[in-house]
Amino acid sequence: MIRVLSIIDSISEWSGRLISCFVFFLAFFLLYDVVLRFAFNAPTIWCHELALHFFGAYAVLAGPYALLHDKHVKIDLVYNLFSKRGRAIIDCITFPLFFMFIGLLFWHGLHIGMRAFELKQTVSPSPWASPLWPVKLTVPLAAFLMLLQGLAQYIRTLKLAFTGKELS
Amino acid sequence: MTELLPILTLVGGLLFGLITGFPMAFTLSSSAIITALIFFGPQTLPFVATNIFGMMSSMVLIAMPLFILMACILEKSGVAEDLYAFMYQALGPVRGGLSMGTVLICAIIAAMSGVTTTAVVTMGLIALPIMLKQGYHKSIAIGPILAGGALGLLIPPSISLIVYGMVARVSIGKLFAGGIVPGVILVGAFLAYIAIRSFLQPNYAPALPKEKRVPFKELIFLAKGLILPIAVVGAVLGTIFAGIASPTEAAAVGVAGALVSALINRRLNWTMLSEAAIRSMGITGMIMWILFGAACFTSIFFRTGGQDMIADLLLGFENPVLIFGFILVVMIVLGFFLDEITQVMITVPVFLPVIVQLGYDPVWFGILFMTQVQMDYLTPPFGFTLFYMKGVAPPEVSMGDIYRSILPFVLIQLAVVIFILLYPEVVMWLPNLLF
Repeated sequence: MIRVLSIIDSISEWSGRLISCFVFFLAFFLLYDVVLRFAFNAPTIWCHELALHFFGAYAVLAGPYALLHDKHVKIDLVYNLFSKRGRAIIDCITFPLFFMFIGLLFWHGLHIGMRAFELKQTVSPSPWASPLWPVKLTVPLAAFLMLLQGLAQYIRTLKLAFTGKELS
Repeated sequence: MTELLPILTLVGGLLFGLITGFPMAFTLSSSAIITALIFFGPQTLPFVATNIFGMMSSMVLIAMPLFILMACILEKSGVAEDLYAFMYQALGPVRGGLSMGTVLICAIIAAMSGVTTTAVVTMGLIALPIMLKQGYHKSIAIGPILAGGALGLLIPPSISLIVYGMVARVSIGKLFAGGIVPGVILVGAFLAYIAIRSFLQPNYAPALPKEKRVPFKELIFLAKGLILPIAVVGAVLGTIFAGIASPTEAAAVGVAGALVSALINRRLNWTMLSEAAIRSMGITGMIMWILFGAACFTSIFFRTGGQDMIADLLLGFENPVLIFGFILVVMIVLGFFLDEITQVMITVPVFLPVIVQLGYDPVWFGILFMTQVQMDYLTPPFGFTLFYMKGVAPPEVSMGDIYRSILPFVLIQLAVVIFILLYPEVVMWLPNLLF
């Protein structure tokens, strides 16, 4: 069990590390376009569009990493009044809502992404008209990773709530 | 006639999240989902995915990770320490100088990072212990760090202004330009307060003893630490205001500038870059998921007709003073509980149409909004930054010390909020001049 959980953790960790280098691509595409446009008066048709695709993937795929490291902002004025175990008990009640949201996101994201693939949707209006399905499919991918990570957290929380001991 | 029940369900969901400490991103989205499920039927549920996809394809938001990366690289290349070393010598010999220097450094760090907590945490760690050791009284050592740190919301390039610009659909360049004058007024007012206070109570903020000062030549050498970060921020704002690049592209220019300055400081290496990238990814992920949740929340809020209801209520007052009074009170109350990104996402779509209908400029409202959120951040007992301060301050600093120290600054903030409210030209002057 503990091995499975740590495998899930490292999937989130490494998907985050992998995606973190996208920010350099973003900077490069945009700079390249500024330089070409300003110095050579020759703007590209693809730079901004490609930056958008990369940003979409970057934004949504940073979610599992943030979940692993507990970076999602919570309002903890009341929450912090409880003991560690008390907080775990509260989390047990709220976690199903998380699964509802991410589950729906996975299902509908997959549906929308598959449709974009079948209908060969492209970015419009755009001279380059790049396909939309790769970036749309990052939504269900991210949702899937979040579900995995959420499941791992939930198992730990349940353990802490019921036994008062942390799963090590 | 709008029905009240769906709105109450939404708001109830939000309250539930506030009490249970459920992450904001998931609180907002799941209260939207439950409201949709009960009142509008399961066929509306694909809105979850479409709204999130809408957020992912926003050109304006690309500026956010880039500015965060720029700040992380500058931070990892030791900018804060260099700045402080300079200010310590440059202003230390003056009474209250270290406090003033702290305000200025916080303003510069705030300009770089656009995130409040960075400046508070960094300066709380670097500057506070030194000031206390120097014999500064707690009440004049803590306040400047907090007040200066909160400036990050207002002084461009600010992440919150980017989010505001996206929601309100106004030019980010104009917003950045609008933030400058109020930011300078605030810095000036903070400095004036510290100067007067340390003049009246010299033993609260002693000047640096003669033997600790360095010769003028060395001071020039230390000034090097000031040039690079200011040059980077200057390049970013310059390209925007001169119309060479969009804010998003200017953010990419900023990343390049930060890399160059790290290279000059000989701190550019692989570990630093990958740490900076991972940190920016974590922060971006956190903000973007709040935006995802908030996008779901507002789309359902519009469907319930809640927007029209509040607009009718506000316009029903018919008196602008009452309307603004109401809006400010709501924002102040929300500010105690919500982070700034959530606050922008859920209050701006509601209030902005009313403001525009009354004939005010959305750019002005954005700046008013940020100044007001800054004040919330500093206001006891719940202000966000106060807790960060407690987290990094030496153990002898109690929560009460922090409260006492921040109060004068909160009053200055309040005065500036009222000033902006009464004289919109203060904000609009620079954007109108530049664009």
